[in-house]
Amino acid sequence: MKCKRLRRKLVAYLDGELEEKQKLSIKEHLTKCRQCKKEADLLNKSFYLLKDQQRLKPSQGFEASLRERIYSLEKRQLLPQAIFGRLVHLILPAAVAAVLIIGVLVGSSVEKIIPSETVKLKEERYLTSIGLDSFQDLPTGSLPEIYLNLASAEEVENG
Amino acid sequence: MLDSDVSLMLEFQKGDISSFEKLVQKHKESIINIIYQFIGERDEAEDLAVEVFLRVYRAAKKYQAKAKFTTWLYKITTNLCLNEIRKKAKVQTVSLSKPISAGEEKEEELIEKIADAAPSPQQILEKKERNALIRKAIDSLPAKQRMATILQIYEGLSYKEISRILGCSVKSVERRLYWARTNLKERLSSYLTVESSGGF
Repeated sequence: MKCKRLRRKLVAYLDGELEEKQKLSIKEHLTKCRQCKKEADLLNKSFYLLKDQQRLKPSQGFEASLRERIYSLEKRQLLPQAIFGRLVHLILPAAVAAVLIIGVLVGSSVEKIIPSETVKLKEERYLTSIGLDSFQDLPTGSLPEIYLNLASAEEVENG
Repeated sequence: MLDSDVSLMLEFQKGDISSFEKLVQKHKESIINIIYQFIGERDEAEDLAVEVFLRVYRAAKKYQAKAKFTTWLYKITTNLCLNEIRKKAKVQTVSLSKPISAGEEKEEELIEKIADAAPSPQQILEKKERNALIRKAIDSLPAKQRMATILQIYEGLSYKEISRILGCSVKSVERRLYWARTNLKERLSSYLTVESSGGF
């Protein structure tokens, strides 16, 4: 059990990432346990086998291709579409805010100019003029009207 | 005191393009190698490395010296690599057991030419086989285990630095590296023989 728990810490031990206390306890264990020592040796060897891989040297054209990419990036940023694109980001929110502010201001000033009672009075006069004040909800002879008449007659009888 | 890379980056922020060039000169090899170890193809590694420095260039105006420059630089590199394999996974062109392509063979020859003065044909063949096995072993690791391994083995970064780059805890880095190295040890067992008995 101790070996199993310890092996989980072996890689961190080999990488020098453990605290002094843990490090000493593993070091001591490795002097006694051959299996764990073998495991540590294999892990260590695999590390150096990987580390031994040759590093690539950057190709000679690396800087040139980077410069080319930077050049085309800057060129793109100077195009009218790109400039317009950047301006749209600024103009659009400002325009929306301006429309909202104007809407609120106009709305409040309309109420000041025409008092709400005057508006109501005008509304009533208009409804009377086109005969909508005597508007009936249900057309004469329609099924809902018959049903309502029957229902109210029943209410009177029960009443 | 600011780290010298941060100073260069701040100079570049003020408009000194030669500072940017110094940064590229200093870090291009590391970036190409990290990407190469992760992706496994030289040309692609160089293209992506160009993209990394282009992002540094573009981000210069917003750059804030909060951490080490390399942490930021490796973070950009890692994100780019992870995005790249996600993209590849989507179009299903990645095969963990794919044979080494002609281009990769050419590349290995190039590496060998740089490395050795005059290796024998037998040595070249052995090295080629070993490199292919190592490549396959690295490719078999899950993306974040692979990146943690590359940063630790090839760049010599501490667990803490790796945790900052990968955006995870130090414990999580420890776990990833444990599984990665155990896995690599199994896969490379044919090249590992234990004869030493010295202590660590």
